Amino acid sequence: MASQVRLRLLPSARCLFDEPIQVKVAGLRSRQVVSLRASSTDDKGTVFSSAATYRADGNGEIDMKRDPSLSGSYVGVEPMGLLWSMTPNSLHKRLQKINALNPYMVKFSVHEEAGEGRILAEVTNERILMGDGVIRVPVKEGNIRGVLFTPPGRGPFPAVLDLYTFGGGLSEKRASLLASRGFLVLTVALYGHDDLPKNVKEIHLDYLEEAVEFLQKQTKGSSKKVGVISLSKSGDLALSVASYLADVEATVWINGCSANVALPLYYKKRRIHSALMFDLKKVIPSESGAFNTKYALNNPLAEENKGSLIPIERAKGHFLFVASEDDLNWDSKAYVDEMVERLKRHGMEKFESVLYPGAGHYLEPPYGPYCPSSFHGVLGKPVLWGGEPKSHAAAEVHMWKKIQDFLRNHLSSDAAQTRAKL
Amino acid sequence: MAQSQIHLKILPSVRSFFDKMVRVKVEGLTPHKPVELRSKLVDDKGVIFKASALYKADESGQVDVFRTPSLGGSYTGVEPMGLFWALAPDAPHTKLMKKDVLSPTRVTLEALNGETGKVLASESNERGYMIEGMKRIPLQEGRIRGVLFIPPGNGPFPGIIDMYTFGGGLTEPRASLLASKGFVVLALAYLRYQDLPKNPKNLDLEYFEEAVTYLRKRPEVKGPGIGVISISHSGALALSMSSFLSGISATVCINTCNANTVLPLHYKDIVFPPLPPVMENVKFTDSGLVDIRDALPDPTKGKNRASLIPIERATCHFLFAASEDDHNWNSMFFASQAAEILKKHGKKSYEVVTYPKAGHFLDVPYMPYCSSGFHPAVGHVVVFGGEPKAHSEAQLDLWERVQEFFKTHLGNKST
Repeated sequence: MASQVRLRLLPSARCLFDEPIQVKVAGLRSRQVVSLRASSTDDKGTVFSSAATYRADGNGEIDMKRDPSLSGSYVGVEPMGLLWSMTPNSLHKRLQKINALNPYMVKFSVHEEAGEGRILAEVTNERILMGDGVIRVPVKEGNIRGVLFTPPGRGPFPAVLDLYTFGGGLSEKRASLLASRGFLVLTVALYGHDDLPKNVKEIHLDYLEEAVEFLQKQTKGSSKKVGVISLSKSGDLALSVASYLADVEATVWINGCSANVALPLYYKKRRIHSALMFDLKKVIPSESGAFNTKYALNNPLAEENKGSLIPIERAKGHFLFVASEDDLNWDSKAYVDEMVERLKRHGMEKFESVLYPGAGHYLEPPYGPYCPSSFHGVLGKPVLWGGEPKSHAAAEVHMWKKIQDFLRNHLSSDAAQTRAKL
Repeated sequence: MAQSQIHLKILPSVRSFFDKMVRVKVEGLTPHKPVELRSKLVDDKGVIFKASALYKADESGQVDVFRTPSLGGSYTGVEPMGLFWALAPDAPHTKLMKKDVLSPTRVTLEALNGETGKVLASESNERGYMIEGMKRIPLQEGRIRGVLFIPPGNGPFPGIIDMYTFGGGLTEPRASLLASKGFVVLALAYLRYQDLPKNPKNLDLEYFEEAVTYLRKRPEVKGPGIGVISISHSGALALSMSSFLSGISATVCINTCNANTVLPLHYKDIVFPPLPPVMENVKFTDSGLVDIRDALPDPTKGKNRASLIPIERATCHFLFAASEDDHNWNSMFFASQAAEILKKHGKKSYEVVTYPKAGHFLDVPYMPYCSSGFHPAVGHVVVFGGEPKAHSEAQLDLWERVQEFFKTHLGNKST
């Protein structure tokens, strides 16, 4: 009987990381109850897995796009549930996908529900980070340490600088996926990568200016406009890039702060922003051993912290503020309110915000495992990120499309501008 | 093409009130050619709301939303205010946020060439909330937190307390627009506003009593009684005020429950526990959102009676408005039950109006329809029911009824 069970991934078992797939099972008994599972091992060796119980229809078939999970890592009709509901085999681990060359391999399997859960069928989903034809080139020019991703085709391509979170090192996943969607992307590391220092005590905006200029050189003069995308700590860096540097036409700020956090910011050897710090006394422990830091960051609007607030009214380009309403790292939603009010007070209109209820701090390209907690670079301990899996996963799907629309809208050269979709 | 002669006009004026119609006309177009009209606004959170519709210019090169039908887009057919009520947010599960009424809501309108997408003309409609000469006074009197709106003129005027939903904060638009019709309106906050508690363990009717006393004592307010308007969670507070406090002559309850919900309500030595939700009745929609429509049980059954507000004690006039497709809770059921209870006690001073296909947030005219959002009492995104066009028509009808109701029962017919 077992050899008749077929597990298929449609349209193909090989797809981009951010692409949805349809999981179908055939050859079961009529109304047979089975367990569908997914598992993956990340670059650090952590195993992520999920399981959900389904009942086959009268023909012995299951279609995850149509049928509900009856119990397990999620319930209800969730076509991509097995992916975003995966949890790590040890606490406080986030999926580590270090470089873009190796795909993210996820094993899907069907098991009998009863007994030892004998495996009935399995298939491997190869979720690639670099679309066909995307070129990956490590960059080591001047002070820049990063990777440039170029889409296939003739261009011109909208150019984007991708800044990641506080942890140091280099992150390629989001940059390579954006490139797979037609953007020219430079992702840079600030420290802890290649010959960069392991740790830094300050950040120099000149470094990011160098990165912007490098990116502009790659567009071969078709346009000087660049975009910036960020997440968490790099959110405030993106704000500074937009406020102080030229040609920054579109800035995506995701769950960042409205003020310069943790590391003082220098430009042309002068300190332009002090660092807003965490008050460790305001960190709240939780049962899992992870901490809630939502109220631990000092108030950017307090008089003594004014030196850290970034004057975004100086920016000439457009902002997209993305905030999770349940962010427990810090109060992202409140920072959006501050920034919106600040821009309005200065008569600026070039911004829009998108807020996601039920989503947590790490808003990433969609279909990665939802991460409830993991090690925090500043605190040195595991921290709760907030949100709940289903809402967070839905937010990532919406956000990913929104970001691409926003960047394309503001970065495409006039000749290539297409009508914006409704 | 004579493009420089294409005009987008907003009539009678680019400046209007939020609850008033405007007529959008585009002139100077090429006859019979397709034209796309787009509207956009940015709310106080920075969320963009958009709508658009495709039209065809008539033989004189004109599009007049009062006469020309939309051939597709956010709405179809002849919809004079479609570009406004069909505005939908870019971010999912979002309700339009307007923090205070000191500034108007600006809606930008554009006419685009239907074939090439080129922008031909644009204009902005400033939709304001305050009438010339109106006073807006932020209040911090005793425990009361809110904003008082006083119309221009000599007065005195009938007074109304305006309360909003469980989300907290203060919502001013309805209060301000109501005040511009000749009422002194106190937009009263009771949760999560300024120094009011963020997460109180209970509410106390004494706070609302203080607000009633304060409003009645204002020199600009004429008696004998004041009005109360409520929606959703604040409904039980309005009903409690009418049942226990004196000086209330007319109470409007929009999509409310006739029992206390979410937070216990105290008054002197009485406690109204919240109606306990039945978790098994919580459903999930196909798109995975939560549907809590049937989560609250019948307040007249068994132990639930402790939450029922004894409205038979009230002497005021009631107007219950209920959306038949409300998914926040079964508004129809609670409104008809309230009417039944009043009838059983020989009361005649109540009206019930229901709106098929309207959803939970029945707001002022042209407030964009909100289909789903994060529900603070539930901790999840829930669906609110309704569909945009019917909901918007319900808002228009209800607004007229509310004004008429207060004018009749608060004695302002002379204005």
